[in-house]
Amino acid sequence: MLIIQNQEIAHHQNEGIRSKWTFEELRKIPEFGALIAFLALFIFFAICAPRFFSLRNITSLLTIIAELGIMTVGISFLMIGGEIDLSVSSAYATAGFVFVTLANIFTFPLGSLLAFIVALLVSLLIGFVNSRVVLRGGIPSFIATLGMMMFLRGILLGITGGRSISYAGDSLVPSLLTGIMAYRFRPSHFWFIAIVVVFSFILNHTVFGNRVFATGGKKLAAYTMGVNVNQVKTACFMISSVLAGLSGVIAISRFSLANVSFGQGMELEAIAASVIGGTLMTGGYGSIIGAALGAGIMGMVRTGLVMAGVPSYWYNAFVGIILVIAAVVNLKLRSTILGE
Amino acid sequence: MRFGKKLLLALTVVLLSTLLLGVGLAQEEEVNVWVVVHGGIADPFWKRVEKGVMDAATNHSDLEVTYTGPSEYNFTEFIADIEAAVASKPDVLVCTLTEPDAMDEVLRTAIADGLPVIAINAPDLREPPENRIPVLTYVGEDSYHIGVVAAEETLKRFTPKRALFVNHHPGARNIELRGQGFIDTLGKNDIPAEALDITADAVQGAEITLAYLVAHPDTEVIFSTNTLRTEAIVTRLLDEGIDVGNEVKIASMDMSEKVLEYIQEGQVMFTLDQQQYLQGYLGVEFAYLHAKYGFTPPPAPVSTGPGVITAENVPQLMELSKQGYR
Repeated sequence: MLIIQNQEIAHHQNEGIRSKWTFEELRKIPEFGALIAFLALFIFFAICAPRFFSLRNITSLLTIIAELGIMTVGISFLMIGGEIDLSVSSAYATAGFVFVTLANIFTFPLGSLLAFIVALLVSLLIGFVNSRVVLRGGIPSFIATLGMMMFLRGILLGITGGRSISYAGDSLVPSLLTGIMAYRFRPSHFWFIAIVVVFSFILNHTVFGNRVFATGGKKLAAYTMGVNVNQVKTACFMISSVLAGLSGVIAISRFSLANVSFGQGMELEAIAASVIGGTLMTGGYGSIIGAALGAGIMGMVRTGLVMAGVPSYWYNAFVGIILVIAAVVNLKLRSTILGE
Repeated sequence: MRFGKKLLLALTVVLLSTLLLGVGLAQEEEVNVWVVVHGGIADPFWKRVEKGVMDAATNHSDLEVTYTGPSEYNFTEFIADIEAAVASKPDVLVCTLTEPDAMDEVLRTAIADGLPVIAINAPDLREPPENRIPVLTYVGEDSYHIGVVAAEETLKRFTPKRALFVNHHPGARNIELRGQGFIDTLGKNDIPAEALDITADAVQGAEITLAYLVAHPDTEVIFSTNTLRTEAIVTRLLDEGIDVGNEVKIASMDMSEKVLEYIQEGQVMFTLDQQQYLQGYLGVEFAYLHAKYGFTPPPAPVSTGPGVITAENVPQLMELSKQGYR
């Protein structure tokens, strides 16, 4: 039943694309609201904040958006699959620490590459453990990943005593991930775009993506339709963690420094970005492009407010309003589309 | 009705153009200074810096100052704010150098592109000095010296059996140096002293401190270098039934109304004042004078303290603290 409903959504979307672009049809695209909000905010800040619309600022915005966005893509995948992951911020910091520590030890050629691979494997493992605890242990993912978040952050604090570790490894991975290019663009901007394209394709045009939607929509229905729900969820948990880890390695390469406080609170920003981008907390509905736009909105609001001279106390208030509006709009959209 | 609409449109156009022209003209002559601190700017400590910044801003009609930083300490947000400041192309950037390693990239390129930078509050103390970010000057505390003064002031009053330095910002070089100065000076007098990381969370920090006291009951003095932490620790220890001020004495740094109250009531022996109002004030003043007239500011460190505040000078400071200066 649910798969049929999902197909209906896709059908609606396709119709919207093929036929004339009426507002009714446009607004059925999950990322439509986020796109409008993104453009509106961009224009608003470009007018209100001098130099907001400058190449120097656009590139530094992209840097922030790419790091949050990569994490958001991962968590959106999982949220569409019907689960949540609060440990992404800790996976971010853990991967960064593993990367810096190992790259400092591996002084042989391509040492940083090996450190990078190990860091991503550790992130995958975090996702796998999360999935086991949730699926085998029958614990809600909110609790299981909250535990993982605190556990990892605690371990890092315990090991480092809160001290920062400077990066002293080779420059291969840092320059591949975040080294400054012409006009202050960074590879992370392009990695982010590539990840959005690839994961958007996987979600919308592959059997696996279809199963993610089905699993998140109605688990039992998906199960009876022959979808291995646990397998799909495990993959989603691992995608969420590995992208968070990648984001962490990128950020820490940029700073050439790992500190245990890095990424704290970022899990909520990523969830907020995902919801703003049209993903439903209840699963079964969402978009990767929307998630990217959501991350764009989060990054833009912060920098935009600062550049407009608004004290940063207002940042959370601003994001809070956008988040609630987005959630209400998404819920309305869902009931319109599914006729619920 | 139609005429009304046209009139409204015309008025809007005129108003907007005047506004834009005004902004354009104003921007032509203005000295634009950005102040970015690692904060959090909601912390009472940073409100003093902000007041100094704003007071300096009102000194000159052609000075436009933007003051910002994360509302609670968050390094990634702080760097995003620095990036936003650099992208805004101010005449001078005044900022804290809380993690110089991680600030190298953004600040060095900005400085190479011609942006003058003045450091306040947290300096770049890396060795050798050639490796430090080439800022015009640094206005703020001389960190190691603060620890030395705290130990000397303690020894003037009594000789503790054991001493503890609580580090509320592990990894920040200047805070670690305060502890080092304290521990080294007491060590020379054969007093065991150590540093304890109490994390970025004030409530959790108080619990950690209490746990340390339970494990080391011979601890007789605690040196805390953040007012919020001092407040949290004193409250927590009192709550636990510990006679703060007798069983355990507190040496603090910086001021808040509550800390001054504790000094008067005898729970806190003294507090060292780094006079952070001056960091904001002088930072902006030096920035303005540099941008406007090309003055080179005095060389680093332009030390803003410490002053030692005891029960005697609390009454007059209470009033100044309420006004946001001290």
